[in-house]
Amino acid sequence: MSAELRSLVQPHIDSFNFFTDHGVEMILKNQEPFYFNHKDQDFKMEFSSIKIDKPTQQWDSTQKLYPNQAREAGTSYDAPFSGSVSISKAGDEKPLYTVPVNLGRMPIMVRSNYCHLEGMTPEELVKRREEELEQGGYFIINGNEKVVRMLVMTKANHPVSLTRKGWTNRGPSYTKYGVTIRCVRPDRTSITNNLHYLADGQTSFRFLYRRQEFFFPATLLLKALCDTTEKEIYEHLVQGDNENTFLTDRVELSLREQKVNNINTQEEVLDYIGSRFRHRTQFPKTFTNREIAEYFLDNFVFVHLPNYRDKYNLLILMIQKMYSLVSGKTGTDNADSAAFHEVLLAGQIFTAMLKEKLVEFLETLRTVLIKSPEEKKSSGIVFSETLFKKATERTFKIGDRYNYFLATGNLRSNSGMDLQQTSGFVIIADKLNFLRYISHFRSIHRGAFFATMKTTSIRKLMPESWGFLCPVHTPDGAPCGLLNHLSSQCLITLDPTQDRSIQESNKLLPAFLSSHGMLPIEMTSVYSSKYLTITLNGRVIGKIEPKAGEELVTMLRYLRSTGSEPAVNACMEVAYAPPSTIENSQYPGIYLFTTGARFMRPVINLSSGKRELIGPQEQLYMDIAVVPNEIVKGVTTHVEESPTSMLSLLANLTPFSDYNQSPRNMYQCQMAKQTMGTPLHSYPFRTDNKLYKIQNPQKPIVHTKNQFKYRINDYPHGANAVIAVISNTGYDMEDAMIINKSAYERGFGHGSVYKNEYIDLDEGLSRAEIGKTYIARPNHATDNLGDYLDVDGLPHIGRYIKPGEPYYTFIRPSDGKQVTKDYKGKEDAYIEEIRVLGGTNLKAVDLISKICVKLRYNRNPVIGDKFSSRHGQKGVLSQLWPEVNMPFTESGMKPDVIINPNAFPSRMTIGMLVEIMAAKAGAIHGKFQDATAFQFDEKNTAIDFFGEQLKKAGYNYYGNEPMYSGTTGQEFEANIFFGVCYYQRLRHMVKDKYQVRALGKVNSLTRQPIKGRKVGGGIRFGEMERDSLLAHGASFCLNDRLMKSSDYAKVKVCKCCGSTLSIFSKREHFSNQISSECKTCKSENSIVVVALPYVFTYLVAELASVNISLKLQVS
Amino acid sequence: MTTVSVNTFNEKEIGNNKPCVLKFPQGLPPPSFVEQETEFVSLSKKVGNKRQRVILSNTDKLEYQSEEIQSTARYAIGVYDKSTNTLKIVPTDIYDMKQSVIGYTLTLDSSIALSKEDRYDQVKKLADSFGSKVTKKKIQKMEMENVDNLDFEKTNKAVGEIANTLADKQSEETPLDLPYFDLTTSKPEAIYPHEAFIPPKVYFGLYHQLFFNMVKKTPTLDNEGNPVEEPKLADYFKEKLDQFASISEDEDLEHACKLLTFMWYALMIMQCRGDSTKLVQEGGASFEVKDYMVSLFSTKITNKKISVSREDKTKIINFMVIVHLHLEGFETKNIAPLAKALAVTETALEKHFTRIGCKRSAAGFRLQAPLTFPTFKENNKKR
Repeated sequence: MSAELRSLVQPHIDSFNFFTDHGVEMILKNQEPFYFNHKDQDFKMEFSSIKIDKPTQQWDSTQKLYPNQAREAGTSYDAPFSGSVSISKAGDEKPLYTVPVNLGRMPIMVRSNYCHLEGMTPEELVKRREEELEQGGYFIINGNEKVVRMLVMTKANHPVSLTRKGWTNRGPSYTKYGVTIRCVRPDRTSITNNLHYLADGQTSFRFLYRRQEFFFPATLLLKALCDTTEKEIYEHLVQGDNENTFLTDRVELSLREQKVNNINTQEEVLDYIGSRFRHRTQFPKTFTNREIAEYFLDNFVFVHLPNYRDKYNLLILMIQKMYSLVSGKTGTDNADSAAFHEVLLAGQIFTAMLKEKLVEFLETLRTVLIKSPEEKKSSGIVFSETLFKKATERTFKIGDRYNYFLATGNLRSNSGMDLQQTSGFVIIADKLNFLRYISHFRSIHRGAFFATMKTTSIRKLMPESWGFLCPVHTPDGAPCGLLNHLSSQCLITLDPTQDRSIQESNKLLPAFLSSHGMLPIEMTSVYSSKYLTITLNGRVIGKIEPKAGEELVTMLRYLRSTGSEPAVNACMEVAYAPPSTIENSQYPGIYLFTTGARFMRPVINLSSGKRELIGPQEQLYMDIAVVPNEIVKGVTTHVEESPTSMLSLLANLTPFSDYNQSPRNMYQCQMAKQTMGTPLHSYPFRTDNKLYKIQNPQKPIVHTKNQFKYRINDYPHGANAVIAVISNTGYDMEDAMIINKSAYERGFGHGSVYKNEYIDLDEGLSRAEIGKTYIARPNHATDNLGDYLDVDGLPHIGRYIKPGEPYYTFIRPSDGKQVTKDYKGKEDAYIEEIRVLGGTNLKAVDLISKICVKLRYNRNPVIGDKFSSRHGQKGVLSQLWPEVNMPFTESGMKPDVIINPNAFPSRMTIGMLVEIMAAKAGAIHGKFQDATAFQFDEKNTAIDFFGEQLKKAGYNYYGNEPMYSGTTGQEFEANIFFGVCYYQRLRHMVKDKYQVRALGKVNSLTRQPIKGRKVGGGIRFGEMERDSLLAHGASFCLNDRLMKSSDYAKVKVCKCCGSTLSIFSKREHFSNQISSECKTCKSENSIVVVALPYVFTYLVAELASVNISLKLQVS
Repeated sequence: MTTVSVNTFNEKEIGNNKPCVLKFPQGLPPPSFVEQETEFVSLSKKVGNKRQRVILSNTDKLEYQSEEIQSTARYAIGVYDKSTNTLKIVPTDIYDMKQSVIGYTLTLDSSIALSKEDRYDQVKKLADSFGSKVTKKKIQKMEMENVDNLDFEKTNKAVGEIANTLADKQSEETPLDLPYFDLTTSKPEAIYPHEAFIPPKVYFGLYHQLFFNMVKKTPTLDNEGNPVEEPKLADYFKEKLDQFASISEDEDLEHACKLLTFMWYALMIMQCRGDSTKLVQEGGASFEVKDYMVSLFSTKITNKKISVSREDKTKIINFMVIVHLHLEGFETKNIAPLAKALAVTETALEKHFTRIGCKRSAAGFRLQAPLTFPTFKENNKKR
């Protein structure tokens, strides 16, 4: 077990642990009771308990379920999920009944606290048929490993000022200005609130209730939140800045505008709001208007703050920020920047889902209760206990909703859960190789909504994301810049509930700050307008004089690095936007965050010399040196731990990536994920659909530090090849590469593919027929299938099976006879394993009806297979060149691989050249070379470093060597760059891609060949191909492609009327001759046969259907 | 530099005399409040296990009550005495003074019951107060479609629509091939009043002199004094003229001649083959009468040319039957001469008699009051 490896998936596991350990409890505690009226009585339903167990077998809840059992059986790794629901008459304290409910089965994340693997040693893990380095972080649904991909969210509890054109459509006089805040409750469910600026200077507060939007005038809301006066509101907003007429005018106007209906006190405002919303809610009549208004304030206005005074203060801050934005004093915040981002993880979605599903459950339960026939019949007591119990059983299972979510990635939600997408949350963690697998856990998506945006600004690489998101590791093409990867050092903060020290510091911090210069917000009401606001997790806690503020920030950062002050937690982000006179600067203030799901990364604090975690929002205004010699005394406060900390795990594995042109490093990140490598070591216990395995992997001679840190060598994905960069024989043109045939025979690039085929004899049968068909071979003595099949009707293990050979035999239930089924695959394969599915630990299956056959395909390199180095230099194998004919060096060395020097000038992958030199030196001296990026600089170059080593061993300083032709023995005129390079074999193989067709299936409508490699279709000869043949004047060839080899047809046409549709052919009664007659011309002589593409007749028929007749002129 | 001695006080030492700072966040009291001898009452109440201090005060309009500030920090007041060079530090509390207007009555909305109308009102109120643009529009739309309210344009339109539908209905019911009839009357002669289809202007313009003279057997003279040749008349007319001879009163005769002239003209239109000039040349009709006849029984194409459709012919026959009944006293025995004049078969003419509401009896046809039209069997349609 590697702690570093674990740290990569830790955010996922932490988040799920938050759900199971705290989320469920919080949701239960904060649930809103569900009220409904039936037969003139008000009822209240609520959950009184919810419980998740550890995973157990479905058939026996005492038997533990281990992840691999679920994986091999193709089932889900889930645990019993139950609870209890109580119903009571509204107003009664004591519930009428409380009944236990089965809520289905809850999927459990592997290696979370609820997983049986948690806490196991590597030995125990291996015993449980897991990987030694199993990190978990995923779910197992129907045998597939599923990861909930990280999603970028707006930073919680921080008001962000924005301008959006679309906001002007929200109503008359709405402007583009707004301040938005995503309020996150302690249970991580969120609600986004917007504050809009109206053209007349008023502000309006927007929230969504049941997917409908409502607007509160902000001044009215202020009055609702606090028993206040206009004077107080005015003073809070203006804060002594009475000369600022822009501000005072607007504040005065908005106060005056809301002076309507004789509403003055808080009581009256709440009553006013409550009376208006009453009909929209389902509260019983006993609820007062005030209670209803408070429900809305509690649940839809700044939900992260339970205290109304805090809500009031935040609203004041937001209005101030808004006026500052509109007046042009400060600019907008960039919502696309990582500074205002955090992460959405599985646990948070699960918690939010639970919250919604509980309500949905109660709603459904209500419907089932009221509509049940028993209830309709009964006249006396409303809802007997048995009826209530029955109704709970008839209601849906919440666990199923989770399974559906993980299986499909689709979120079915009534409220939308404050998310911008409904699908694409979940991805399969395919184990093509280890790098690809681990990257799934580090990938973070901007959101499906942004993929549809036409502007590219969202995809741009922001300087704010330095150190948090990798600038290199993003795919090119459609998801470029939207699908990012966390830097290897970046971590996601824990929720305060999961860490006692954060909770402690949250309590201590306000007092600590007020003893260090902060004026608590409750102490006085009038400040200087220059004072900075200090917020803690979106709660305004005080004000501070600007200069003192700066000192406070420095001190907080110092204390954060030392960890000596319990009030200052190591995970606290100290975002400080200094006051500035520059236009479009940020709204000044000190914003402290200790919430979970934020990005943090380590740097070194120069004043304490210790490691300190910083967040993206504070990073903007910090002076961090990338390397120690960049430090400027008196300016620089921090220094990076390593310049490579901005790179992701994968980007960090590219040797000398600082020598390469940037896109090449991006390509390498792509290609590393397509490499045939070692995805796992537990091959015998895996039933993945497709698994790749490379046969002779090596660890690279040239490696980066991360290679060891993250145990990548345990899952190698390539081999060190001796390489000559030479244009030789012509078979290395256009990125092709020549491989030494003997190297191939020695095992270079050998690999195999495993495929698992599930065979279910009961599939597609009706329920009555299930269980009657089974695999057996009673006629084994007489059926002559002994060469192919064992006596049990299944093929021999280890047999080399070819298409069309007997695969298995089964008993047909209709006549009880033995039927042989042939192997339908297109490729020869070895039968690796056969798994009989079904049965339990205690009892094996009687009749085999479901099996899983693991097939192994040999996939040794053939011409056309794809290889690449680690620098985005890919190429296809063009020839397996006999070793005797390969060029050789003076020492007699013959290269394994020959590539063309033309691969370098345009692509500028100098890193590869350095790697070849370094590996050559390493091979000679018998040592591994460190190739971590940014180790060398202009004064101290890599070339010199490795050149010296080569020189020491008697080689040319630059790695060039004289070589001799393999065929003539003559020395080449130029010296050849010769060395060792780590080569990866990519998964794209000719065997999976070749497509040929002579005759085959045609489309029944057009009689043209069908498309698709799998079904034996052809390759489209399209418009552009047609153009080029035309240009060449190759008309006969064109005729051959488009007609003769496609839908050539002979069609009868009437010469008189030119129609193909009016011809009626019939077979003569007494001879076999076919006679045709044109029905319109009533003639038999006018008919001639012409050759046409068949699809033309279809066109004629289609046109006829819309009353257009098409006539052919036949001469 | 001077040394300041610091004198700190323990909270317990001070006890109930603990000083406090009062904050008036909702606005300071008026200056008069401070100038006058202001009174602050300090009380304590028990909340849970703790004693809480409450400070009260009031002006003549406002009442102040203190509220303890929930704070994590603790505060103290430092008093520096210059003379003794000592700093007294006394623990203190800060209180928010909440103000309330004396005698203020709250305006609260106490409506809770929700009838259907109330609900609509509530929805509207919510949309007006806090609703989005969309909901406001929805409410507007709902109001537009609601006929109950006093939307002038809507109402007008609705009234117009009703009038239109009524008119449509009426036009469907009034047959086009009959003159005005009175369904309610009990007198046969009042069923089809001749004034309705021969307006007075036309009636007096009808050229009765020819028939009148023929009955009186006096020659008719033209403008130059020459006798006018008698026109060729159908037997029916001759028969009628013969019958008219028995009428003694001139006025009655004139009336009968006028009606007969009307019939003659109608027949002329029916037989004119598109040439309306015949009416003037042969019948001596004035242009006014001619125009009326043409517009009643045919479609005018040019000044001289008209077209008489099949429906027009039906109409002419119906009218002629009615006038015939007028002349015959609403009961007729022999319809053969009329049929001959009209050049239709008797059975065909019988249908016209039934059409206008005549009852067939052994003697012949009789117009019966009150008028009832024959019911048509609609079986044919179903086929």
